[in-house]
Amino acid sequence: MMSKNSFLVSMKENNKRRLWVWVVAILAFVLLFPVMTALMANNIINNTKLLAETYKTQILQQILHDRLIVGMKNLFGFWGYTSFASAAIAIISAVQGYSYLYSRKKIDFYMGMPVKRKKRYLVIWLNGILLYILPYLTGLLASLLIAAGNGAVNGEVLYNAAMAFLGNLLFYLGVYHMAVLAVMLTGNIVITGFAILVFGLYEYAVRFTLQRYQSLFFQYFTYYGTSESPLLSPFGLYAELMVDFNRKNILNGKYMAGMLLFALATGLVSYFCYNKRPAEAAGRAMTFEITKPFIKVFLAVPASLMAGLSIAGTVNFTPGKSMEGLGWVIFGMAAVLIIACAVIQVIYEFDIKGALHRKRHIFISGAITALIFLVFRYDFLGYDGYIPKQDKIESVAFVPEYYEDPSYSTRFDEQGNYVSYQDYSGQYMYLTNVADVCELAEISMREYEKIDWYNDIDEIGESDAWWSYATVIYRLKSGREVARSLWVNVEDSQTAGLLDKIMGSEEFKKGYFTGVSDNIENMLASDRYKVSATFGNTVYQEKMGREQITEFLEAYRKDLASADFTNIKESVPAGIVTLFFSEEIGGSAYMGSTTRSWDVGINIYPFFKESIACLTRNGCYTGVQLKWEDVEKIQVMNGNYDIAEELQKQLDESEDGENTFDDAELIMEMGTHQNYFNYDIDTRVYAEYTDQEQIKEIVSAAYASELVRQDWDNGKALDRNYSVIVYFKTDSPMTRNYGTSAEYGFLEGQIPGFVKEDTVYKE
Amino acid sequence: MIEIRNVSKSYDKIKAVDNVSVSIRENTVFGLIGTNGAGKSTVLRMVAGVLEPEQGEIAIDNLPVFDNIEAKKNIYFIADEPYFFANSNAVDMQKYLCSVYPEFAVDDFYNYLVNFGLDKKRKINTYSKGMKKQLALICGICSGTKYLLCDETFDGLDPVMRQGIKSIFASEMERRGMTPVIASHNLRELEDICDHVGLLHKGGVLLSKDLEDMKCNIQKVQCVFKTIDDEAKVISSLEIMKNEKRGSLNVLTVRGNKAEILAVFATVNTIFFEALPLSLEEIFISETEVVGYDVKKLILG
Repeated sequence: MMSKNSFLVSMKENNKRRLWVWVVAILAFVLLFPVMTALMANNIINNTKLLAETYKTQILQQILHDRLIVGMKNLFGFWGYTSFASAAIAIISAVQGYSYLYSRKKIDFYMGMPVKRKKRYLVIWLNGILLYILPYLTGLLASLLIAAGNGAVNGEVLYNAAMAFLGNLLFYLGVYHMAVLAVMLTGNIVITGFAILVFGLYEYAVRFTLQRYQSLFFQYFTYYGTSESPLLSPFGLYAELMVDFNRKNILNGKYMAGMLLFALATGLVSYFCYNKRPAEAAGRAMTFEITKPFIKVFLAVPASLMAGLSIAGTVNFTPGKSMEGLGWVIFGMAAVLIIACAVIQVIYEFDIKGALHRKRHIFISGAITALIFLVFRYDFLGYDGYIPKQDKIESVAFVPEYYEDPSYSTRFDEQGNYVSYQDYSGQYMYLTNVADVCELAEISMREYEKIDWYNDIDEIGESDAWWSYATVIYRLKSGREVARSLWVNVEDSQTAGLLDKIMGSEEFKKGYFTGVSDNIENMLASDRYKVSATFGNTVYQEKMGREQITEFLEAYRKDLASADFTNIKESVPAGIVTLFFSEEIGGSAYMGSTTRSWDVGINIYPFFKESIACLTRNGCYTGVQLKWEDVEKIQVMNGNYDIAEELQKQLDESEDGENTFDDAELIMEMGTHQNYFNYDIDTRVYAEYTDQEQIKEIVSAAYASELVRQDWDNGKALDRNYSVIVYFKTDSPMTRNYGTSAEYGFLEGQIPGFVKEDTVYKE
Repeated sequence: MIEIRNVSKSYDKIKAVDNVSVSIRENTVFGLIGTNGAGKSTVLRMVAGVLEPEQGEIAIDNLPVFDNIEAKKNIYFIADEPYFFANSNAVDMQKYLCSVYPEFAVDDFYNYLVNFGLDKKRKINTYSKGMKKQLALICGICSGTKYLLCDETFDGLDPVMRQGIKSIFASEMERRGMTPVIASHNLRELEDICDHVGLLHKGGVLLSKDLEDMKCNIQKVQCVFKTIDDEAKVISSLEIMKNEKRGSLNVLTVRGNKAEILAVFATVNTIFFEALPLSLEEIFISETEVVGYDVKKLILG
């Protein structure tokens, strides 16, 4: 039992030895809080003064107040500099506090004193925490007083400050205990530094490596649902907590609990190690002999696997197609494994001559590395091709990649946070039509696996198949979520039938199209957001008001209900409705406030009768792609690429006696980018039209390329041979708004006859 | 009493101390002698509670010492390289030691500083090596502990300082029964200070005896015999350990008590006879020879 008085005396004496750490902590928080508060308030006031000419005094005062509040919320909340300072002070405090363990002289002195080991640990530990809490709270209090003096404190600011303090304290504890553990496991400061790096980055490195291996070896791997953020590290948990708080303005209990558990676990383990730490460990690399082989193996194996990845990238090792380059990969892995083991052994012994000592560790590490490599190579765990049994699936999400996304819309959740299209569907799409999705997965995987990408490249190029990428998320009844990528041949009739059923369902539309989401409804109903919209076909554009938007969305929902995969594939949009939302959300140290915005693009197809009627009713629907009255002249260029390709082939064969397009990958590339391919023979033919009738006919067949995107569904496409340059009349609204010309194209098979004739290539 | 029973300690599979058993009585000056690497520091560090023995036990006044503050309150350990806080002065050290040792004699501390000519305000890192050792000794003496463990502390002290420290030891031993335990590799350093000596070699104890006992058992005599027969009679009657002959002068190291030896000499005729004082080195030579070691090689190199 230690007396309170002697404990306090010990703390006081210990603090005398840690004065510089106190100074660092105080300086950090004085700079971070009071100084930054004063600077920020000053900047915000000065920036707001610039608005004096635009706004009346009363409004200006309100803007200033709002900006100050937002700025202070950000400054006292989770802020990058505070996080950095917390981590740095935690590491400094832990290492400096227990650094006597590195020195035999100090150990002889301290451990010879009649002071319990436990007491010494607790005194240093507690001081290490106090030297964070006291400067933090003092700095924060001073800042709040400064902010209050500027009228920039309210409940929200205090709430943010309190929540950030709690989160930062747990983060500090986590990093502090992690660093203490690093000190306990090592015998000198340099190795402690390495240990802290390893603790902080190890899980990230392992996750990164394993995911890349999955991606390399498994053709159905998807990054959906994976995370590189380490959860066994205070850094990863804190990052998640910070992001979550900035989104929801509430501390996430899961991450807080995780950080608390991490801090507790590392605290207990470090205390255990402290008690077991022999005094003679001072100056050695590692404190405990028993940890040496484990640490060596645990570091050498990921290092070797990472080297394998790196070399695989360099030698273009693609196991899905061939095993070419495997030898280099194995050689690189073996070399790095041996080097890693040797370097670690040198560090253990502080002797370069010891590099190859303990060879059995190299063999054990090599065996584990080889096993992991083989697990991926031969898919021992059955990852690839796994489809859960239907009776075990609760619901699924089928997520095509960039389907029906006319203006690269943002996707967002209830709080307005941006999410990826996969995450959006993962959150909102619950297809109960499990059987169709499973069948689609089976068919697609079966057919996809038949393709020999390396040898059948000619057949692939000539076939009608169009493989599109999708992600399937299976939510199992057990609560587990399994995600796989899928390549779907959208030109296959059976597949198309299944896609009609899947993508025609209301659940799919609800979970994929942002335009019909409840989030849009809520944003429209809220005063927080500025809302606007346009309807246009890239050239003509009409604006819509909030009420018109609401009316339009109702009509759109009705129209979308009748849409499925096939009717969308076979149609070309008449135009695009784009909804814009914006909100003033936060501040920075310099500007005081920033705006967050979202835009949602909606294709309007000719069969969207209700939507078109609504747009027409509100005077927004343009009706045609291009008005002939605005057009001065049209220039059409026919590349005649098919002829160019044929002529090029003949030319190459005659010159070299062989086909220069042998390379399979080059042919694949040509398949998608032939227009950009340079030929030795120029087959382009130009024609210019100024005749009104001819212009009328061309204009009725021309489409803007933004509207005709042959994407996921391999739908209607512009003819790759034709480029239509439309020159507007000098006095038309088009010239004023968009310049003198715009580029259009013709749909495949819909080229006016006279244009065809005029632009045919003649040798 | 400090009792060390069957204590062993290894570093990286190298046995530093192997099954050592020694008892250190109170109110004596115990000298722990051995070559570099003999295990002296390891024994002292274990006695100080810094190191935990792998085997055996160490008790200070019947209390186990490792992580036991009741036992440690009776010990002050001065390491071979004493540690002082960075940028501290003697006053800082005194304040810290006062917080740890309740019996710390503050007045004595400052008196000793003055007597040794150490400036209490001067930063310790500007002290010479000898001055640091003096300060460490002063700290240890003033800590008020019963046992003062000194690891090579007298190395580097000039003779005057050593004499001063010895005087302080003597007075502290008399006043409060302090028991210094002094480890050194140099026999001559301990010659005039130790009451009891333990000799360590390769981690084990070769011997541990009172100096007086050892001295009583060995005598050194120089004499000139009148006849060769006299010389032969003495040599055959006594256990002669060493006989150095310089001309007619014989210098004999003889095992046995003084009275018996004098009695033998009384039976022969000598021209000159004188009993000489024995050095610690000579005592050790004779004692270790008994157990088959050449102490010159062990201690003196």
